[in-house]
Amino acid sequence: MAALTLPSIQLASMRPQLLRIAPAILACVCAALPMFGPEAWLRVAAVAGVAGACVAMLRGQAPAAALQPMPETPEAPISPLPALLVEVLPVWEGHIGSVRTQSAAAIEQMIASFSSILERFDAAGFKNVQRKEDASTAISLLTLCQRELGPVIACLQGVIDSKADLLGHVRLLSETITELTDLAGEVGLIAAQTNILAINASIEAAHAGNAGRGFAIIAAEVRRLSNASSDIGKRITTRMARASETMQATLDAASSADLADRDAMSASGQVMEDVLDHVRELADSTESMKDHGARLRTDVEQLLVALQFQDRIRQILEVVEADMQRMRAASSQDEVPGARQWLEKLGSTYTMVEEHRHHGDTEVTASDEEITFF
Amino acid sequence: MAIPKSQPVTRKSLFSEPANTQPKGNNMAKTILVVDDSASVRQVIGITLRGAGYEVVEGCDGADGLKRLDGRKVNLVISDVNMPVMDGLTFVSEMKQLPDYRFTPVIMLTTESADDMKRKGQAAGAKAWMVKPFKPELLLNAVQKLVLP
Repeated sequence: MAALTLPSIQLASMRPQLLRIAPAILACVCAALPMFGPEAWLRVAAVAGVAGACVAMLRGQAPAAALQPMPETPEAPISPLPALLVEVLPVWEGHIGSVRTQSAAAIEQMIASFSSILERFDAAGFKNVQRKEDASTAISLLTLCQRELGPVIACLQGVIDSKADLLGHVRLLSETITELTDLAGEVGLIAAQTNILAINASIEAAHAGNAGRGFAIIAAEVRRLSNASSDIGKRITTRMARASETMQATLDAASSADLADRDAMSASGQVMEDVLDHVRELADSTESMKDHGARLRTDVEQLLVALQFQDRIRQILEVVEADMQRMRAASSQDEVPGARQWLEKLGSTYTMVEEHRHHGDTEVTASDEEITFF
Repeated sequence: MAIPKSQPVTRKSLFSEPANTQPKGNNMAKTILVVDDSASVRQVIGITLRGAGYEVVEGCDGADGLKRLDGRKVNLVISDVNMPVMDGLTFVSEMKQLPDYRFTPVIMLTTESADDMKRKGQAAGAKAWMVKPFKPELLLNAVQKLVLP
């Protein structure tokens, strides 16, 4: 079919040049006629008549012929456009299908990867910041440490306080022993004075002679009792001294232990405070990390929501693909629908507002309600 | 004075536990059937619902969705409208004919937003009509509102 149309195409392109040179050729022939004789005039007249008819025919058809394509065959003319569509549309459909398939596969892989990231966030304990926390399950490390260490410190303080009470009682006991020692000393003094009194009584009884014999016996007994009292007083004093020494040693030991306990308690408290400070810092950085993790998780969730665009473009591409198939089927028919009818059919397949808008239907508006309950 | 016995420190007590959005007192995971011909949409819905503690069963079209309704307990259905083989409205109508699933609530999740389509969804038996793209918290609120106990 291409070979048959080639001479016609070449002739059509040569017509302007033929029109320009035809008069010149005719003028040359007429100028050469005198060289040939009378018969030549007759032949030239015939040729001129034929040439003139050809020139007239060329002039009459040249403007239209320069614009219109030549039919391929005179029996069954077919527009080149349908043939072009039959060849090109399947290729376009293939490209669109490839775009749809590749984008779907890539986005599904992205969604799977983001889903894995979300699972790791959940496993690490990072929650969505928009979700309300359950207060009964949220116990920070710092609060836990304070709860654990507080009773221990209080108990140690109680032990120290009870030791201090004991130390106080020991001090009282020591003071009591000191008082008893003093009393024992006074008993000794009284015994000594009683002994002196008994000696003086004996002397007076001796001066009294026989009349003072009974008084002398009494004086001697009193002297014996005073000596006994003096001995008891000395023994009490000795015992009290030993008890006092023991009590003093105990008091010194208790005082030393109390000081040591208080120093240890102070050091322990300082260490615990340092530990709590470190735990507080750890809790702060953990909270910060949790906050950043939760925000990252939220961002990943929003990315997943945004990836829903793939479903929308898939639907748009499927509509275009289907219409291309319809175009391909129609291009092989003798009659095709008009543009308005075609576009009406296309518009009936739309499901989204933006499809209608791109189609030129500006009256269609998106519903403000994201969800409608029945 | 006796020192009080301290509680053991466990790792779980260091961080907050994941929030459980399922109704309190119900420890059994509820099952939601998701029917959509888009694998990416099923993935995103599945991530949203599983993150809230629901079990998810998936169907790729209406016919596949009906196959999943094989007597298992389904507490709610989320279905697209425009699907090959069997569309969502037909699927819901068929589902409502099944004795075990007659009262199972359905949320239509679709790109369609026209009022006449919403009326068709309501006539088919859907309880809600949600337009894509959806916000996860909005979907979860709707699910929590409609899901069967």
